[in-house]
Amino acid sequence: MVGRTRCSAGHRGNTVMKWMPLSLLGFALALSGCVTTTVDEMVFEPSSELGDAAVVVLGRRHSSDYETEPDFIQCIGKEIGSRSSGVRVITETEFVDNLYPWFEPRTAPMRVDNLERLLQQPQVQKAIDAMGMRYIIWIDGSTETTVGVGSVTCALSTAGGGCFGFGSWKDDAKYEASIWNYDELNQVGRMSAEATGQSYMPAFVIPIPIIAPVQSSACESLGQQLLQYLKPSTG
Amino acid sequence: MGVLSLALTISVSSRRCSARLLLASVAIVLHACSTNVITVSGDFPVPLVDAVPIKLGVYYSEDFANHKYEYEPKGRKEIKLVMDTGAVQKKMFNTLLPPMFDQVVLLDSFPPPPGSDVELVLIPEVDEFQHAVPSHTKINVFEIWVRYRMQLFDLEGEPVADWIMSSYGKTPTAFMQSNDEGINAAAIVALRDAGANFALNFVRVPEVQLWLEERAAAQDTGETP
Repeated sequence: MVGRTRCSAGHRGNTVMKWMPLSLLGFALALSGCVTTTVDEMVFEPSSELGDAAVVVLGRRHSSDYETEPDFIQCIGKEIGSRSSGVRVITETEFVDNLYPWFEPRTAPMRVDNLERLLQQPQVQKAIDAMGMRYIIWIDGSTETTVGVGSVTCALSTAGGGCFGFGSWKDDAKYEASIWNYDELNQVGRMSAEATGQSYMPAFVIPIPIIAPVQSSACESLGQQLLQYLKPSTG
Repeated sequence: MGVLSLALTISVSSRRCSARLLLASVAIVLHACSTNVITVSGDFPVPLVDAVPIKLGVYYSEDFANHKYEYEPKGRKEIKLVMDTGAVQKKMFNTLLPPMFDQVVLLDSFPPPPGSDVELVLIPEVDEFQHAVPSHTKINVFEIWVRYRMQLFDLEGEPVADWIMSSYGKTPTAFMQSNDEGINAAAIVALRDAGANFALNFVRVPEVQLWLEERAAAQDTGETP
């Protein structure tokens, strides 16, 4: 298990009073809150040499009260694909469209056994083989705002407007990655990333959001861990 | 949002107080009476399935081809929603059906004119359509439910099969995504789900199974089904 806290602070703002609102805005954009991330890994089998084989990252969409965000899946794909030119990542959209209707929320295999049964459809196996697939990575989880306190009130009138108050909220990101080896039809690893961060929004005429990049931190941590599994030499 | 943005525009563009008040009032009245119209649009993939050996005719009724879902506001904070889904549903079925069957013919009328080269006619209808947005459910997803009534007829217009098919689509809220985009995305997921349901379960409909078996038996004995 690996844990870390990351904070970043913005640059100093312009002190000229005339430009204060604009500088505050710029300052706010440069600010970000603190995020604590924890990554956990369980590897059942070491990765095999990837070579030219491809990897696909797919989001689980079967839960009734949340949905793994498509932008998080894209982010993980970019983390794996961009950090090493050796990993060929097929996008979720391309994979799911090529295999329609077998990987839709109602039909996607939940376990490796189900994938094995699905591959008895010759056209499905042919389509996955054509992509040169080695690993199918399923991501399940979401980022949620759990606690919100304070309030910001904005008023608007013919004489002008402004916001006053203070708001704060906590974001929790929990994601789990399950790695399936397509060649051997087994689950070879399981990883999880949890990130927590507190965001603030003081408002004195202009609201100044200090956002904790919770989802992107979870993406970066999980992406790095996955890449380390797929390409141990990059770690 | 509409009120806020208009009011902001007023405060910077006009210096006359009376004009500001008038325009602000108009904005409030417009908001109260406004209707949000969404024309659902999207693309659909071709299904990866074996073709069913049927020459299928498809007839889209006026109601189906021009289907509109209308949601009346239930509170002062809501506005009327109209979703134009007819064209996108036709697009989905027109993409889904040709690879699913040996031959697909779009029909302009039902029953089909004599001499039509089809064995069965499919008529899809929207039986029920519902939506939910995060402000209704307090869950950060947009949701769409569609219940279809699927009917199959023979060339004489006699019913062969009649079944209900449900579909569901949801999409999470996202940064900088409008409600319209969220609803549209959920509707596309629901239509994909409808297509998946139809593609995988068509031959499992008991009446369809029976018809296929009877036809196979008739072909073996040299009779027409």
